[in-house]
Amino acid sequence: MNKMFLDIRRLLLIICLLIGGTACSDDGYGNLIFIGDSHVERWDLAVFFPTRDVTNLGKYGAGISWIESHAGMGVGQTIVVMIGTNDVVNLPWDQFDKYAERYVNALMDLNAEHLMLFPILPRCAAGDSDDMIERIGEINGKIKSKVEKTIISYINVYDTFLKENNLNMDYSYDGLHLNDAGYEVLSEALKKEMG
Amino acid sequence: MKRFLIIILLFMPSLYIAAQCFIAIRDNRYAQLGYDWKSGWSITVEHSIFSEEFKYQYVRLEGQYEKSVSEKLSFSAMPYAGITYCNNFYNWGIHIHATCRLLTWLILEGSFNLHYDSDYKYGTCYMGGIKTGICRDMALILKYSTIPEYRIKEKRFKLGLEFNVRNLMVSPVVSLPVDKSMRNFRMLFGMKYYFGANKI
Repeated sequence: MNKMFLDIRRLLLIICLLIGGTACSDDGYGNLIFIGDSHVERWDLAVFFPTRDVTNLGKYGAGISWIESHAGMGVGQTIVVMIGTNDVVNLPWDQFDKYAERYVNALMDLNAEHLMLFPILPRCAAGDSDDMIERIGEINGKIKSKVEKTIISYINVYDTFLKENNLNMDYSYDGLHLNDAGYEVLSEALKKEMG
Repeated sequence: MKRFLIIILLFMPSLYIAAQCFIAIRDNRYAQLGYDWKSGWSITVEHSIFSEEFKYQYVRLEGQYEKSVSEKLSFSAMPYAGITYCNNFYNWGIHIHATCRLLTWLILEGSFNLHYDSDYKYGTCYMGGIKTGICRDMALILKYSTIPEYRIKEKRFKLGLEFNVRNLMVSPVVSLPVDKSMRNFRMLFGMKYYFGANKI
């Protein structure tokens, strides 16, 4: 029985090669583990990455402690991280340096083989402070400068989501969470990063 | 004009062959071309339409045998195997489907899908649901399914309509996740068109 399925698989592969002639080996990224806050939780990975092995570890309301709680999980894995929008709301300005340090340490402690990081996206949800965009920009800058010295790939889509110094509402429906167009931007940027 | 006639003459024999051919779309992203034999056998080639590079497109071969036990009860078995052009994954399995017409306007459906994916490994998936006629050409569909729409086994409710007009079947369906954010609902579209004989 197994031999029969192996033969079918071989036959299909030959057909594919004959039709497509685009044989490629594994791109080295293997399965993708996405971890983060509601941005990740709401990302319909099956739709945007239909041929990938994907795992969604997104959690509503999660902050950097969610990443810290997964220390060591990334051995031999490719991890995509998007976190921080829930932390930035109440973080005092004088704690930004300390937070950026903690943030990058948490990422490094994942011990991932490949680690791809999205910035904290701009937001303009109801109840957000007037200086929210400045706060996010400042923290992103600090995280980015620390990440540059590591193996982490920083996928800088921040400016795409920014319009007139606010969140571009073409990509969100409530000023915080993304719509399908927003997820398309993230997915395409990630695919581009993976070559 | 000459060329036009030659094309028509070349095309004529294919009209007979096309009598049992069908084209279909499954879950928005999969185009199908198939051939039905009167004996109940059919063969289908499916190709993905992902917004991905060509090497990540997926092609699947399906065979099916359908048997009516009585006027009310029919079964089908469909083994299949598929792979992407760049071989980053493959899957295979068998889909066993039963349809029972309880009343003239009420159909009960159930499926077992023994499914193997090279990354997600083996999974037993199933589907159960009802189809109820609203008017002559339209039916309401309500299903619970764990059969993968893409690669991942997901628990989903499906609510939709099925239109059957002559050789054409069209089915828009809303797919709602049971154990995830409701925001991850999907609007799915399916269609099937038989060339020639009225099959729907």
